[in-house]
Amino acid sequence: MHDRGELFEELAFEVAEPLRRYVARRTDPDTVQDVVADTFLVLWRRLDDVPESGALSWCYAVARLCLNNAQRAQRRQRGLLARVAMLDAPRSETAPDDSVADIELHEALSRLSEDDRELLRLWAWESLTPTEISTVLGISANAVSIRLHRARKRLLAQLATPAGNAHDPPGHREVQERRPP
Amino acid sequence: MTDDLEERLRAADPTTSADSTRPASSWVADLVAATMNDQSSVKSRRWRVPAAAAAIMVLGLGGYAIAQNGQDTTDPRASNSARPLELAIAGAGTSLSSCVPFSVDVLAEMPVAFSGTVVEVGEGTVLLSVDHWYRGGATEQVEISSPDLSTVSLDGAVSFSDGKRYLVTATNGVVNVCGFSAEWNADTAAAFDEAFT
Repeated sequence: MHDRGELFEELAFEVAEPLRRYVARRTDPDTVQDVVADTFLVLWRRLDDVPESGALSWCYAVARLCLNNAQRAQRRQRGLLARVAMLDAPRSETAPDDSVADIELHEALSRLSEDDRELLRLWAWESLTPTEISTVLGISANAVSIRLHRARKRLLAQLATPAGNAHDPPGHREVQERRPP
Repeated sequence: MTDDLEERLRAADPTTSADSTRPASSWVADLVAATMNDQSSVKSRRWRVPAAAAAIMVLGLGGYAIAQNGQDTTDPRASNSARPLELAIAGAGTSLSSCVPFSVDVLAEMPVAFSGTVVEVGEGTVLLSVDHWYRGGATEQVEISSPDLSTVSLDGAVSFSDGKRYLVTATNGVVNVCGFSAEWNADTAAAFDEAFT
């Protein structure tokens, strides 16, 4: 029989590295450590609520909330700094290494909504199934499947569209150009 | 094309290259110890975990199996269209872990696909009136029954209610879930239209 500390340690080692990567993909390096530490504190406090199967997805859901909190705090701080004209340009999240980055892909991703980006990241980077994504986002697996399908289509459309025309949704212009016979 | 996209996205993962040099063991033990000694900073926070989604994951264990009923369900056109095609819920026990990510390409492979409205909910049975066969059928009605009455409304988020309209697919005697069957909605219907035309 494990005691609480042993259970937590077991869980921590199981999820720590995927959790750190999850956070690192979504924020700057300075914030990663704080968010992972916050996430661990919540996991420790909520240890009894961690499901036996799907623990990692559950932990991602917690990390997501911790990350949102950290980013809210950062935005407040930036707002304060901006008012006294001392603000450096905010660092972009997960700034790609220019030497290896697929710039075209990152640009196409940046033109999608945050919801689409998060679905695509959870699918491709965290390699989650729709059911697991549904745990992270708190929506149904069916909704995940449909939205993911549409997000992939939108990303493909963005990749096929020159950056300058990217804001015209596919099909929109076609409707505008249609003339009555 | 989708596989290419997935591969391209994975290659763009910012944590795959420069980030993997530091072993987890070098920091996790420290963080575990620090965490267990410091609970103060989260005491005032409230965390809402998506309980509904978790419930779907736990409950979503039932699969459906088509009761063959002497018919070749891969070609139900051969059957009498006045008699409902009979399906059955297999009951809990099969795992959702085999959930295939939804895509129109996969949907397009389904040999049985229809939309229909629930016209009768009996004891452990649901009768759907088919309004459109996308593929693989000609019957006017489909009956879904369950050997385990407690699982009628379960499965990967499909629950059948009287008067509601559904999109349903089946393969090899099993009604597909994971987004491949759902209550009728414009998004899923558009995917069905794309897959079966």
